[in-house]
Amino acid sequence: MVLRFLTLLGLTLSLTLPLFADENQRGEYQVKALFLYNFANFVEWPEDAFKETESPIEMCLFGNVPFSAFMDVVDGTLIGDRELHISTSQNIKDIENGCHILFVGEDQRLHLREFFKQIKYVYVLSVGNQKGFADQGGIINILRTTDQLEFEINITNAMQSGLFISSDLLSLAREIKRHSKK
Amino acid sequence: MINKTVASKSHAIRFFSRMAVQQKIIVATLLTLFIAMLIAAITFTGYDARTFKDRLQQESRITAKIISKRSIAAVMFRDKKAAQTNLDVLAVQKSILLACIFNAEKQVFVVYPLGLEEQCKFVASLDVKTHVYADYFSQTEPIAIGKRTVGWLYVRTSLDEAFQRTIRFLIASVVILLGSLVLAFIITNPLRRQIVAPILHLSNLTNQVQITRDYSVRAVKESDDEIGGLADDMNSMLHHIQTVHLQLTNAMEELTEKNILSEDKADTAELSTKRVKDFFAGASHDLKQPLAAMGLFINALEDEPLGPTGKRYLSKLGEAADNLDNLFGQLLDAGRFEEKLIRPDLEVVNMDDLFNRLRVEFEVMANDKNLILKVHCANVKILSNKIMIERIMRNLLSNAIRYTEQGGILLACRGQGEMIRIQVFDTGMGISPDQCEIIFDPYMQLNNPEHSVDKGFGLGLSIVKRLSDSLGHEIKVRSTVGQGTCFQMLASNMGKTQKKTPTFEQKDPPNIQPYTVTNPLENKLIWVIEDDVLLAEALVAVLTRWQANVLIISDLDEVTVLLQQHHIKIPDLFISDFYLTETLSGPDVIEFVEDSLQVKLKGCILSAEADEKILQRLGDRKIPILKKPLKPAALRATLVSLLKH
Repeated sequence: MVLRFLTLLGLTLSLTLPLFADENQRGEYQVKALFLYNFANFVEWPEDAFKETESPIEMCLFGNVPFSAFMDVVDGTLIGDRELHISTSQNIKDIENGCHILFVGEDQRLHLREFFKQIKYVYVLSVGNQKGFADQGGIINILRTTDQLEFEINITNAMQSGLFISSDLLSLAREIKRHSKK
Repeated sequence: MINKTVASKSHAIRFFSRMAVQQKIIVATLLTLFIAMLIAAITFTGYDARTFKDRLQQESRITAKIISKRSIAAVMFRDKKAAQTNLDVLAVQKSILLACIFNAEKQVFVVYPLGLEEQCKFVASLDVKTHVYADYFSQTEPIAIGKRTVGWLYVRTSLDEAFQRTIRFLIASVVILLGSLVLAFIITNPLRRQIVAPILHLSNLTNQVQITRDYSVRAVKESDDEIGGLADDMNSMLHHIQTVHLQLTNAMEELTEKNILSEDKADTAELSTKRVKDFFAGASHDLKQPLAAMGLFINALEDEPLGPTGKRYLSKLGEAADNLDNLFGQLLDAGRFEEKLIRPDLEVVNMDDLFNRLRVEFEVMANDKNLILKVHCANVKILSNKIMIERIMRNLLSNAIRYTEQGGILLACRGQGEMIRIQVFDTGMGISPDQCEIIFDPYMQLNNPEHSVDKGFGLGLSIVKRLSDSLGHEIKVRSTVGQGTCFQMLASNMGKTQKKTPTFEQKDPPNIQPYTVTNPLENKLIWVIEDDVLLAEALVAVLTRWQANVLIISDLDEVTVLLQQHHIKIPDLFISDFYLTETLSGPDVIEFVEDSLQVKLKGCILSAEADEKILQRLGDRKIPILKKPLKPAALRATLVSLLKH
């Protein structure tokens, strides 16, 4: 089933995004979408993070998210026993109700400190794609190295958010940060 | 194929059966041990190989599971480096030949060891979890997070280690096996010796007994088992043999002793027999002289005027003298022929000559008893001995005449192929069948007192039998009591004689009382050349009775004196003793006279026996030889016959 989704992801990419002329750019988005989806598999939320046992995992794409189209295919798929709900928003108010995974677009880079102060609720895995994201209160930051995409994790922020990150994911991280410069 | 297996099996068994007991025990124990250990070694090696392979598979599976788990994130985040790091961990496990991680699209993601991507592309299927090949096995483990499979791990493990381990195990087994065999051989050696030593002891003992024949040795009993029992049995057997052997030895010694004694006795008996024979031989000449004289005197006395009682006594005296003569002759013959019988000299004998001589001698005797003697002989020669065959015929003929009271006697010989059948028929009293079987037994009659007064045929016939056996002439007797008897003898035919049938075959039937009609001896001058005075006087008495003129010459001197007379009357006949002195014989005297007077004299020679010496001396001259004791009838017949020729 998952395989099918992944295949669909590939198809959708080629059909719905004809605007992306640059193949490399498209691949990078695809991988970023994959990364974001994969992160959900290696993070454990406490029970308190969900209203019910069958409550879905809420994924919020905030700000300008260029690969959001790739994420549509995994909307509604199961991660563990829970469904994945993806919502896109430009308004902070839309995410006030709470997100389990929050991707912050690049356009929010300048307001990050302020932004995290506005996030009142805990148990949120914040993922960004901008330099210094993990140092400014984010947990995972996707980076671009010379030849591939990697990520770094701020484990202190993760623990403050009450999340448990799998060692497998940690082992893949390019860097594990311990202190946040909040 | 089956026959071959059977043949080789039986060959092995035969080979085994030829081994010594000790070798057999070694083979049996070590073979048992070898088979048991071999089975154990093979079983354990096989079990170990199997277990080891299973363990190897399990280990490989666990390793694959761990790596696949650890590689989930790496695969999901397409982190080749991390995935490669995970796979490189496999380097600690030398048996891993190949490991590949495939992504969700089943494309090769990373490979261990580096550079074997191509091999990973040829992996047949990722659906089969475990696959075992000849020299390796493969494991495929899905890389999954929850129910989501994000890739696959393929691990190929070599079985080389398992093979090498099995080989090592086998080598170790063989070493242990050989070591155990050597150890078992050394450890069981004393036990084996305990079994084999008593057997060898028994075997050596039997060999020793066989070689030395010493039955006094005994086996040492070393155990209470079957071999111990065998030793006991052998000892009792040896005891038995020793006892019997001792008895046998004693018996043999006794026998040897007795044998020596009996040999001594036999020697003594032989010596005495020889002495008796020597005595008879020596006495024969001396004894025959007076006997001959007695016969002649009795004959002469018959013409003397005697009363009836005198005549009866004279007749009895004559019979007694005849008996004495016969018995005496037989006794002498029995002794004399004994030695010659063993190896007779065979020669060709002219039966015509023999029968002529017998006719002359026995015709008169037959006529005296009013019997007719017929001689029938086809001129033949046989292979025999002249003296011995004559002796046989004389005995048979005299027996025939003696036991026949009326009728006649037929002497015949005729050819029957390669054999000549010589027969003597008579019309006498006959012999009963039971007697026929024993008449040839020696001394049969002498041992029977009833017949001791008879003229006896016992000794005579036993001599006949022994002579004929010795010559190889088969002799048979057929007889009917009251009708007659036939003695028949077979001899080898040596062809016909050149001579014509003798003239006397055509002679007139014998005259019953020839001298009653004419007396050819009347007034004939007969010289008696005899040194024995008694015999000379007896001859004179008989010859005078036959009305002949007699001149006695006792030695050569008398002849010389006689020859010097001018008017010497040449004798019509002479009767001369053969042995006059040691150097002078009758023929010497005759020849001397013949030479002096230039005449041929006719006459006969008297001798105790017709031996070779006499025949040689007479040479070509056919002078009849009359045997002592002299029978008057035979003498007369001879003289008459001489006068006629």
